[in-house]
Amino acid sequence: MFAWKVFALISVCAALLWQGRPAYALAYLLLLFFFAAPLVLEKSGQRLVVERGSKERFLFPGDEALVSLEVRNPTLFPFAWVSVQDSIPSNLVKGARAIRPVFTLGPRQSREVTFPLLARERGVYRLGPLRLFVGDFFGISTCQFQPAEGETVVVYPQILPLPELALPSRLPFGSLKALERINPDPTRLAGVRPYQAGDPLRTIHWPATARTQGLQVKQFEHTVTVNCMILLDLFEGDYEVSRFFVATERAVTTAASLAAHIIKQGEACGLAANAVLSEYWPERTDLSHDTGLIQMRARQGTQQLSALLSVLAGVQPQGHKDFLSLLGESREYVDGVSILLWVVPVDTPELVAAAGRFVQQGQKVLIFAVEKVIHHSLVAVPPNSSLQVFAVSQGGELQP
Amino acid sequence: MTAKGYLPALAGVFTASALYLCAQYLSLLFAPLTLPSWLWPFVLASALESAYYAAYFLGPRTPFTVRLLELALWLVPIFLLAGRELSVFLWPALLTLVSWLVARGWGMQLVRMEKVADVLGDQAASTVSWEYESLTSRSQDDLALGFFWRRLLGFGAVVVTLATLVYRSGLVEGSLSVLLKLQATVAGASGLALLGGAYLFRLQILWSYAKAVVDPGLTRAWFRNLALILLFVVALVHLAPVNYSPITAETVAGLAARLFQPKIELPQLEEPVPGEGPSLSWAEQAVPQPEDLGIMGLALAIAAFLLLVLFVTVLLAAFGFIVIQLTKGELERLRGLPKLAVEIYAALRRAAAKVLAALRGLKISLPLGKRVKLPGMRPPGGGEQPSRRRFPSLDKGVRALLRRIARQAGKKGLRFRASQTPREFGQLLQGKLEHSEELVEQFFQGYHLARYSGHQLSGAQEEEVVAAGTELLQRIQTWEGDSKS
Repeated sequence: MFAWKVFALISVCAALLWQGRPAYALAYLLLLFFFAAPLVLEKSGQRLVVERGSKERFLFPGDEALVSLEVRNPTLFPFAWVSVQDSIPSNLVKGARAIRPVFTLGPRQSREVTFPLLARERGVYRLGPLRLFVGDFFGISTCQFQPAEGETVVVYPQILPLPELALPSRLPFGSLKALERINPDPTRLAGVRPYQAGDPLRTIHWPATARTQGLQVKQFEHTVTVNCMILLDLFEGDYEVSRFFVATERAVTTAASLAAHIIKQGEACGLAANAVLSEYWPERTDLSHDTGLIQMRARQGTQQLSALLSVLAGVQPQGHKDFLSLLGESREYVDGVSILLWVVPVDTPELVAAAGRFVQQGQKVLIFAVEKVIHHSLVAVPPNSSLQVFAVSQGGELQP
Repeated sequence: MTAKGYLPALAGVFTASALYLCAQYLSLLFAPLTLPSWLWPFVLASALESAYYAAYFLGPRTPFTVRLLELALWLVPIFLLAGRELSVFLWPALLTLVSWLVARGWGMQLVRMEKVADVLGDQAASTVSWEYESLTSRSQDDLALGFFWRRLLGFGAVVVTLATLVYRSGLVEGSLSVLLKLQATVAGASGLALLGGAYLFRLQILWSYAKAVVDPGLTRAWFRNLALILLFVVALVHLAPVNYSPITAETVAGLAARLFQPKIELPQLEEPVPGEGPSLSWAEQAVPQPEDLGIMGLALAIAAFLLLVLFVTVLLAAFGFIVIQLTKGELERLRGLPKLAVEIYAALRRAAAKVLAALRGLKISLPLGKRVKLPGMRPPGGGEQPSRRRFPSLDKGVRALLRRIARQAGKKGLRFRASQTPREFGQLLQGKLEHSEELVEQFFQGYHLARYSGHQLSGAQEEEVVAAGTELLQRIQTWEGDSKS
């Protein structure tokens, strides 16, 4: 390029000295091509606008989606070709490689570009940085620009029906009938009975009263809503090296499936995990995540399920805090909870001993071992026992 | 459809029109080179035929007779139309031949561009890149468009030179001027269209290898936008102001002539008598007019032009030096004139460094011829003396010695493979040559110092290494060889 520029300058000198339109024409052309055109290309390229269709996207494993980008040329300069390269993580690329779209962009034109995505594994991924290449019509220069736009893609963990995890489909979650009849649940009508003196007027069942021609009052069930807390162990040292990836992913899948099951029952569910969050996890105010510790209070509703799944999409194992530290540091979150669901690789004696202490405080502990079960006697206990161990295996087969 | 279909046509039109334009200017400058009216179709058709044939059918196995027949197809009718007179035939035939050859070059370049697989080798599709391929990328210059740019600007320079000569001599007037302008416009537009089309063709090849998802309407939009750009360029060339420079070749030549004109002591002129005719001043008598300068004036003008270029270069280099001092590490952000100035400064520095290195090398190599001829050292190859040409400097001599050792060992079956380092080759050599471990170690250690240490060996070290290498070479020559390697 340097030689061409020198040639252009020489031609300018020659035109100035020898005059005449032919010499000036050559000088103008060379100045236009080797000085003005690259400059205009760069300046116009800097003004290209790239907008993403969305900032965040949520997918389940196996889902396909299209990422759309709009490239707009607000200038009067026509771009011979525009090439877009989006940095798509390999776990999201559909096909063998990410596509590289090329198109032309005339003055004041805009073009929509789409990239197909296939969610392969759970995780929180960042699309971008986006690289935009532009070129002229004569191959003189090309320019590269990097718009700051990015997009977060959250791939939730897989949610399996409980039988597929070799778990009983009717786990004792949710509202339990209270032994002490002091908390009538106005949402659960048990029946009607004749009015007795002292019954509050608002409990009178007027249709039944009209039908029977005698005052009838509503009889409610007496229930206690239990809060559930999932405690997920993602301490690297607790997992066997040879099955590390499979076991940790199964632990996350188990936690997600349990959370989905509990919240679909209409109960509250929280999460505590000794894990780190993915680098790209979007900031949330309802989440406490110090280094190596993630805690979410128990709440009900689909919003809570969505938040839980988003967190579980981004959790990664860590090597600093073990499960017992997690139990110690999550006291504030665990204390008011009725049922604790521990998702751990192995039900070690230390864990079972710690679970015993929680049981003594009146809480129920269900241990889900994703790698191996040591205390087989705790697997075979009656369904309503306060301490139970479940062997989890993906695919539904029971662990030996 | 790829752009290749249009390119030979554009190449043919450009070649024929540019060449015919040059021929017309030449015919204006030199009367015997007149052009017959029937020549233009021949020049155009031969260019088109040659470009298309080269782009689609010509191969290395095409018989030479086919090419001769092709040429005959154009030259025989010209010979007949020229009235079978050799003197009339030669000039049109030469033009047709040149047109045919130039167009063939375009076609062959298109084929070369298609054979991009040879260059890309076994690269994965994801590694094929078009995003950085331009004239600014030096490595891609030749492969992409360097060829087209060079030819186009070469033609442009020739046409402009001839046109300037013709216009300055006042040979063009009226309708001829309009005709020549029209031809020049056609030539320029077709040349630029060829350039743009060739770039698209190159990109299409790369896109197909990279499996890029290309907009199907890109080719059409490309040529449409290219046409608009060409219109703009044509308008610019014809409407932009010209001849506004206050410094022209004539003024420079006049100034130069005034500078170099020896001041002649003239006898005192008599006072002019009032009422007599007006007399010329001294300057008017001494300085010849620009049109009277002749060859001397032209030479002076060229010298003045070169001086101007030198002056501009020095100015830019000085500016570049200042820019470097001020910006330090921010050079990559520079654009336009400051960047050019810095590049000129850097180029001058590199050139100066090369000259100094060459002078230093000359200084070092002088005593080396004597040093190589060590007393008691047997010349390698049975009396063959290492010549000064082979050992311009001793560290280069050590390296040359390694090459000779490798060549000799290769003849004996121990090849120095590209995948091996010199040290690995030395270890192999140690294993093959009996009782030569120390010698091999000494030579290769010295070689490493000479090649990689970044400074030159001392005199004694050099002598030892060369002696060891020469001895090693002799032992390899006497070695029976290793046919298995």
